[in-house]
Amino acid sequence: MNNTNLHHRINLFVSTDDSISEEVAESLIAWGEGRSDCTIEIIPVLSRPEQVIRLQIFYTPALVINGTLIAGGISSPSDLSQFLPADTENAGQ
Amino acid sequence: MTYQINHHHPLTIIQERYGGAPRRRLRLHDFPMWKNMTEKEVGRLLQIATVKVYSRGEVLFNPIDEPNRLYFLQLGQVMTYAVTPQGQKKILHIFSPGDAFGALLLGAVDGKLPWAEALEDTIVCSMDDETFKHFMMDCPNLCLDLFKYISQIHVEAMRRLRGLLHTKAEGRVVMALLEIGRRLAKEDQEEFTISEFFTQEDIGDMAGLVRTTVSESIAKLSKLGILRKAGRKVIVHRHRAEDYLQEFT
Repeated sequence: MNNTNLHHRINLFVSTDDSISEEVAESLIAWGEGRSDCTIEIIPVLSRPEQVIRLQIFYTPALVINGTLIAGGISSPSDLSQFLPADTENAGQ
Repeated sequence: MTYQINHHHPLTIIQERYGGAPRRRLRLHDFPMWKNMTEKEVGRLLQIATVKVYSRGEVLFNPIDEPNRLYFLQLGQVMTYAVTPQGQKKILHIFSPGDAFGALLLGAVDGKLPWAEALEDTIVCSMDDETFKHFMMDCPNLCLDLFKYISQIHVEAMRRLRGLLHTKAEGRVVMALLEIGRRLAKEDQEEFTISEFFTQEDIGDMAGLVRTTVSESIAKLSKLGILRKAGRKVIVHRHRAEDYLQEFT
């Protein structure tokens, strides 16, 4: 997939009182700072149950990019990075 | 960049070794048709079923509810329990994502439901017997998977029962601890912690032992390095526990 000039909608579905969800969400927000090619939204699972079912999310935190489930049950912030799109705008700077 | 779809969560890949043949606890989303549910089927399921959300501590059903519903657990964990006349909670089961439960599927003891409580953020789809008929007509492939799932539960129960009959106390305790680990979705962890939430009495109920025998067995298993205690928690070393059971059986 060629991501040049692509705007990414990055959603992270999180559970309440879940420390891993919190850590991964913080890490995603930090990753997205200064990125103009991404829109990040942190979504509590209980607020969008039908979407959770449609996307077939079974474990949180779950990463959804441009409407596709990329990973569920991410175990740590370091695991998250492998699933995130490369920074094409600032590449080579 | 090519996105990599990661359906590779540990629950679906870990195979357990004890009891002879490799086995794992199957969930609905492990079954082919369920796993490959089409958008149309998901849409139909959402039309037929009732979607509900529960926060930790909220009750899904209790003994005075009518025992006529089926639940598909999409996300979260649900504990079912009975309450003794002395007011004590007896844990019956812990359900994880991909499990199905409810009286319509698994029956009710003496016509009564247990209590079912969400242990964390939980999302379920549920249907009563009338809506289940629509489900059967509209999603026959999914129904077939559901049927296979029920058969699997039955086989699991029989295997566990046979294991209990032929295993001495320490082995039964190990089986119960591994079962709790599986239910809590800790199948990928080399070591897993069983919180004080599960009492020795709960472990005894699962293993068919009295509390004092559980306590003695835990002390013996601790000496063998299969587990260790950290306060009231029990930390289980998975591979040693599985190897121990394999030697047993």
